[in-house]
Amino acid sequence: MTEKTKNNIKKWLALFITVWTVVVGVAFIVQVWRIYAHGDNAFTTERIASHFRQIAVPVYIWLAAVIVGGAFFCIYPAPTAKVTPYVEMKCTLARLSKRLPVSTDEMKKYQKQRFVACIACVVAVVACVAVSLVYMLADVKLSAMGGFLAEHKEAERILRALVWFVAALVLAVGTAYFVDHSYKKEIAIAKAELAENAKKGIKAQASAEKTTLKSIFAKKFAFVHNKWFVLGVRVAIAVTSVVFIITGIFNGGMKAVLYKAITICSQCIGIG
Amino acid sequence: MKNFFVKMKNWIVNHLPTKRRIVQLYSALLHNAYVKGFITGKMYLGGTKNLCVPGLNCYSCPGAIGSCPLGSLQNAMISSGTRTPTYVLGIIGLLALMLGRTICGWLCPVGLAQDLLYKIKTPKIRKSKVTRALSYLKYFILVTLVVIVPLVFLVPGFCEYICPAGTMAGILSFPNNSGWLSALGPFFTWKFTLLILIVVMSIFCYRTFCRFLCPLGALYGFFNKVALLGVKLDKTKCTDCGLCQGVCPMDIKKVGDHECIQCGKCISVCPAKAITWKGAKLFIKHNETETSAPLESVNLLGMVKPKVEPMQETNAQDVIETTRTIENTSSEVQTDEEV
Repeated sequence: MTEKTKNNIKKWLALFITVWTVVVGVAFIVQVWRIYAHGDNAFTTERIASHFRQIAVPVYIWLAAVIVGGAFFCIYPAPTAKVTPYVEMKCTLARLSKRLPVSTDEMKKYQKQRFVACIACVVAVVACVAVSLVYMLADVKLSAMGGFLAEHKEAERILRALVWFVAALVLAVGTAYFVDHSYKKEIAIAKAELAENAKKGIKAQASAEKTTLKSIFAKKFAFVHNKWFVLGVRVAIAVTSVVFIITGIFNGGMKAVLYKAITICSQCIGIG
Repeated sequence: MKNFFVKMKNWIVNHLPTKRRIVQLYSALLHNAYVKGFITGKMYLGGTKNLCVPGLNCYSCPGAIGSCPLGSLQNAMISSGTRTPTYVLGIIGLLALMLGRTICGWLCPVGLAQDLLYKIKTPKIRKSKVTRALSYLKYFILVTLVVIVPLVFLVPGFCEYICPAGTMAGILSFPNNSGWLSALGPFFTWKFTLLILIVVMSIFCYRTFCRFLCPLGALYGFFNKVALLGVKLDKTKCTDCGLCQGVCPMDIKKVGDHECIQCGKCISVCPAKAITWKGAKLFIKHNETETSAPLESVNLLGMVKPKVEPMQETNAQDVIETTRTIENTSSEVQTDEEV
């Protein structure tokens, strides 16, 4: 078998497993919702068996594909994956900046943009999280949703809080992409500047330590990396934990754990 | 024929499970050591259930011999009106102090299941800004479902709405307890759907549940810096090459941060040997790892000691050269990606 044929087989096998995995997953989900749609006492042994028998063939095909795929990749292993040198833009820029004596005005502009974007993002995210916490904790009036949510108010609150949390996530992702874009631009400028300097015969030299908000914080809280401080924290946590456990043994916490653990947890297994 | 056996032998040698995988398997077995329960469908009722196990393992699972730390924590929160939840917090604190997120990487049965699912040969979703942002979802779940919902609504929110380990425990119990089937309804349907989604996603995206949803991992992550076990970075040796971040399948920003599950993959790729195990001097010689050296003997602590040449003094010039090479490769790769 030629190398090209092997690679083609691997590609198509991987694609088939991917598609079939999704198909089988969807089939499982559809079947469980179809059983639920039968109404009260929907889940009976016979009904479950009959519904899942319908998807038995796709599941067996998937299993066979996974086994065949595994065996094929074992016999003809893919070349050892090269370590992807995933270097964060920030790291690259830090390295380049070390060789530049001073930042140009354009570079400073991008730095300012990033700073403003990050601050705005933090404020917006905090606001979103605050709103979601209000939904969770405060006595806000919720719209009367029917059905399941009417019976389980906590579920409705979680849903409403989640919307705001998702908004915060979207903001964070958006800002991250903007910051990355800004880093890319700045790296390009830094590289051009370094090339210009090289043409002029100016040797790359280490820039003076810049005073940033991060560096100020790093200096102020440098003691947290001190090994004695870390040891102190460890001892404090260990002592507190031991005291907590002993207190728990005497206040009945241990018995409560045992009692809960030896009775079936209806919430855990999905009875509710 | 002889060639075939030689090939087979080589194949087996190359595919031997790593130390981490063996520890994970042992741990999963220990978490569910009551094998009889899987056959009879009856839970273990012994005294060991007084204690919380380190990993996420539902106490309703027929094989479980210990309590789930997260379930116990939520129930302690629910009963906090009458009793301060000191016992569970103490156990979690002690476990987190000793191991941190090493528990996620080496001991958790749910982690093992996801690791194995990820081995299925399909195209994979690589980590990105989106996955990093999504990794903060677990903190939201920790605050809302593990703390607020149990305290305010007296419901174990995570167990009731999300926990896939609980759903799996239920599925394992139902064949022997068919009477419970009549009680199943919207909760089970929702949780089963979520379980399937997590399983499918774990095939394409490394440890979907651990990275985005698990509040226990979020909790242990706070202790990663002070945990006694785990990886550590020597900043004086670090050249900022980013290889550690590149090989890490989790959404870390730097080695050993709150997202790091201490799998140790980064140790073998670090060109400057800046990453080591905490307390490595106790059981590993010269900062070497399992992947890079053949095994020699077993030392006093029972840990396998790699057979290595004594490490030479690191030449600063060599490190700079290595970094430059990596930097060049990285810019090439970036250019390729841009193209």
